[in-house]
Amino acid sequence: MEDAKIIRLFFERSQQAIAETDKKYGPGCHRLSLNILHNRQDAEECVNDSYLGLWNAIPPHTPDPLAAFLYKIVRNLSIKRYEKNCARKRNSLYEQALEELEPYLVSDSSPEDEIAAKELVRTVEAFLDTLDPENRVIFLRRYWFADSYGVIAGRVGLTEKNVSVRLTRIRRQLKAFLTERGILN
Amino acid sequence: MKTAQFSEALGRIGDDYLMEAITYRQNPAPRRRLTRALLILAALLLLTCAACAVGYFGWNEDLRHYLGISDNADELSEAVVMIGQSQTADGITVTMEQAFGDTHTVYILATVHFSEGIPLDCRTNIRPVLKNVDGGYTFACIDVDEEARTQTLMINIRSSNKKLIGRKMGLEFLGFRGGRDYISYSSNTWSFSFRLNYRDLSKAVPLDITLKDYLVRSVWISPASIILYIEGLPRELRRIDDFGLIMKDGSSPDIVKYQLIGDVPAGDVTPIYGMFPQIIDPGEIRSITVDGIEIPLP
Repeated sequence: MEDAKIIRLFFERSQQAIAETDKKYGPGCHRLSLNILHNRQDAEECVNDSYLGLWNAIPPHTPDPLAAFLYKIVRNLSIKRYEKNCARKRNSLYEQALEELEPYLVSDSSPEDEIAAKELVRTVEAFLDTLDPENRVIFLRRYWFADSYGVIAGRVGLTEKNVSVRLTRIRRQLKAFLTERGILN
Repeated sequence: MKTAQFSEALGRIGDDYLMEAITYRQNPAPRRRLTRALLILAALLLLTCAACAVGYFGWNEDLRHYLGISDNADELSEAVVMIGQSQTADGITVTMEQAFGDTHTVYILATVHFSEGIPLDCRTNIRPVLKNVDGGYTFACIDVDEEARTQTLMINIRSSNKKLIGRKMGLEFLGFRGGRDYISYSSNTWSFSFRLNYRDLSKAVPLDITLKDYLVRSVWISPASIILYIEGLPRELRRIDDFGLIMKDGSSPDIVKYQLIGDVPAGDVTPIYGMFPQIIDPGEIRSITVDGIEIPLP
């Protein structure tokens, strides 16, 4: 079903809206949440909470595109749940993805020296703009969606080894980009 | 910076990036190899034809002249996107030539060719309407070539808190009226759609300097614009009239101070926007001035 029709169902307060959302975006939402949480039950609950969030947000919102809006809710809720579970679970794909980034991001600057969160978003977007579409997708699939190398390789038509090499290069570029802009020392 | 901060910022990037990552599917491997082979062949052909390469990557001279870009400013070419789209109807050909910009500013150069019988001067306007992009914009006829029967148009769009770079923007030219009596010569619509895929050459400098009763958090400066991120401006004001740049040679470039353009931000940080009518070299900036206080830049 088209997004516009799904949104119309939300506006009509029809339960069918959730069913159609799940039918269209459920697999992607579950995979994203599972990548972060590494626990099927937690992921299931997060996705259901995300549908509830969507139900509460529409109306008044009319998200366009719906997919990005929904995935952002799923990611936020999953990360919150992940942080709660953090002490107990140390093996999710999300954590592996973050660990890869850490050596390229750690800085000894104090929080006072750091630019505001909004400006950091802008900087991240400026960095993404420097990448070609394929590398941008590889980077986001790894660090936004926490996809495994194998899943990314299948999506972009490269080998896992190639994806790994590309990600190493992109992380280096990211470090140079942030250093150049004074965000990292 | 902590990794979690980066992850949080990543979680708030624009929907365009996400949609690209969600919908992207590469061709299967064999076809990919063929594509690569074709790309290599195309690259070889380009290398053997220097004239072609210069033609493809070259500046539009009207754009360069309008922005005051010197002949050897090759580093700025990354901030240009070639559009090259053209449509003809009712004897009027509209061509979108090139766009130059940064994250919040874009200059788009277009030409309009008129067949014989249609009046030609800068009063005979063909007005654009923006699609998919929020922000203030101005539109000007900057040249008329009577021999070639062509008008050159400059469309400038700016937004202090919405990102223009990377957006797929739409421009529609609705109808055409001209002449002394403003007669309608065409009711056609010329529609264009293109992505602003140039590179932002901005530099960000964190400042965190308190002036009067507000805090200058940071400044972003590109060859085309400056944005000051100010915290603590009164909600009803949201403007700073006195800000500028001092270059290493002591000069101060003109700034068109548009202030806050776009939605009023939800938080307490206000982006104050200014545009340079003539392109500057951010590497040559000595300091910024805000409310009479000079702040040296590293």
